[in-house]
Amino acid sequence: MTTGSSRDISTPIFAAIFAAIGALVIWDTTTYTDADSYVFPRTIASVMIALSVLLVIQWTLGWHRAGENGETQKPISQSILRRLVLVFAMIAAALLMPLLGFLATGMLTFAVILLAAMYDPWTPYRLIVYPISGAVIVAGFYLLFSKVLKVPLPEGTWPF
Amino acid sequence: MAAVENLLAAMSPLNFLLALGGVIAGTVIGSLPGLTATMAVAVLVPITFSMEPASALILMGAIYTGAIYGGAYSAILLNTPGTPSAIATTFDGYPMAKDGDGDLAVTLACIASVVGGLVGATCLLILAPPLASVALAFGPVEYFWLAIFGLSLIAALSEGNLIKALMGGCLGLLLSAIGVAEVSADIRLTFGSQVLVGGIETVSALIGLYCVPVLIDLVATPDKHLKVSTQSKGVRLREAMEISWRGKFNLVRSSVIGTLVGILPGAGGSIAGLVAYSEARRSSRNQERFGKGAPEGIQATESANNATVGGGFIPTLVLGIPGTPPDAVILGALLVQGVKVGPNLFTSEGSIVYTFIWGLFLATILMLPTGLIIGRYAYRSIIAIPKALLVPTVAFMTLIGTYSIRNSTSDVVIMVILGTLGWILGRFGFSASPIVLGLILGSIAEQGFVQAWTIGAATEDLAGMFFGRPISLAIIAMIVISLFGPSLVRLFTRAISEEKTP
Repeated sequence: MTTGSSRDISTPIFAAIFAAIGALVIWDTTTYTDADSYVFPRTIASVMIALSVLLVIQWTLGWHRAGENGETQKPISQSILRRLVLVFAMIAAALLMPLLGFLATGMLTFAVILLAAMYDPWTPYRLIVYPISGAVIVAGFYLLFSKVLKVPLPEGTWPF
Repeated sequence: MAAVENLLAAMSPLNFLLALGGVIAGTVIGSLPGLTATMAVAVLVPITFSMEPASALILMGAIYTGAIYGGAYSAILLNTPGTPSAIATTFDGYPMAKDGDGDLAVTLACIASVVGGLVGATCLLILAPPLASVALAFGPVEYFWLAIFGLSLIAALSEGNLIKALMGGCLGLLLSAIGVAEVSADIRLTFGSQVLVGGIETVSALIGLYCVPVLIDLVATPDKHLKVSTQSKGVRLREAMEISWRGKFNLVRSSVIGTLVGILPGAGGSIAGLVAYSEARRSSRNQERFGKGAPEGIQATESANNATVGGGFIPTLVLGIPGTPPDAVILGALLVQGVKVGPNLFTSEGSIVYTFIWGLFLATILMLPTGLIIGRYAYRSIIAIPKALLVPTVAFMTLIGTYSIRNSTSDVVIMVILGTLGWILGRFGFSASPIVLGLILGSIAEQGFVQAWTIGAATEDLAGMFFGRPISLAIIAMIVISLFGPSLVRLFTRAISEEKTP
């Protein structure tokens, strides 16, 4: 057991966030016309708020085992930039798909994430093989989904 | 004699090839995150229209059973369930793979899937009509409690803080409520956003919450994705067989659970896997190993989800009520072919039904060699591919898989955002699994809850509705054991050890 004051401050912050989400849900349910619509989310939101309060009490009294609140997680390393590149590349891919088409977006996204995930030195072999492999993988999946499985992937709005 | 004729008909060269091809196609499709068993069957249904009904059923059954098994590959090797049925496979499969036992985990999953498939098919063969009545005994309130039973697995999954796990479960339940309400059509929790009106698609959320955090961590370090053994151990069939033999009771029990859950319309492989996992953990002597790489967890989930294939066909063929979503697609294909499903099907069209059931046995048995070969190839590919190529490949698969579910870029954005939130929450002790459980079981729980509430209110017997029905009480008892059992056992063990310590 550890005391509340000497531990992470994240637990009460997350408890507050979850309680706020619960309150927001309850507020939203007041606009529903049918009891069938609000009885379930309102019940669950109330339970979530109650659990948030319980979590704060548990944190204050120090009733938890070390490690279970994430204190033993490895610190975020220097590679935060690579993580951000990955997340933003994936979101950008979703936004660019209708514009550039799935194939071009896929190639671009693959290239960006490949660079983010690359730790080994760029040898001539890797310079040739990795981009070709990426192009084959993306094109292969594109053909599988669009031609074999008939998924209507975005074609893009190219002017030419 | 008729049984032998049907068996021989199922073993005809054409049906054999259809079973083999179906299992391979299903396994490959099921292993791709985003492509579910329902999708695998639906995509390949048009091929069956020109076939004999029995052959069509064999092909669809083989695709279905292969897809359910195929979901285990990405669950074990990438921490991303290929199909929702394989959610609980990630709990122990991925930790095993990280420890260098991915090949063993894949083989265990294959054996368990075969056992589950055979038990489900056997029940379909000999117990179909009486078991179909089980489906009719389940009312809304039983579905509600069944969903809550699935949610009670949160206790097992809470690696430390039960309150945080329960909060995650609540968050998942609320996420499942976003969009148009199924019962009353109110638009809920969208806060004016058009993107959210369609709700959060379960499979894309699943991909995000399980796969994106792994990618975020993978990209951040130069470490290898999975621990690689210095010497090749093959498929480790003998070792897997020994473990499977030791866990035979778990396998049979989970298969029976899977069959029974499969019979319940709409419940499906994900609930079957979760309930069987929960039960395996509850009855295990090594409860603390669950979630950290326990083979029993994989055995329970994979046998249960493949048993739903045979189980799901029981109400589909006997009552005309599809037991699982892929069964609904297959039912539609059968109707197109002019096969009238119903209680008389087993007598009026016995040759079709029994040929199909034998075909299902054949497909399930074929899953062993094909599954082992594909599994070995999948494992070797995952460990051989350089990380710089693996990360963008998996990221691209999540993008195309998520998009293809509803042809929606919004789903892709939601998937990435949920995954990122899952990663952040995970760093602060809120694991993704309870959120996923809430999200998956939310709609079943809500429908059951609201319908039972309405009936109870109309009959002025709410308490009786929720707590007065025998099946409900049995499920409630299992929930209580599942939720508080682990804590009670821990307290009991601690008390005994303190007593022994002078």
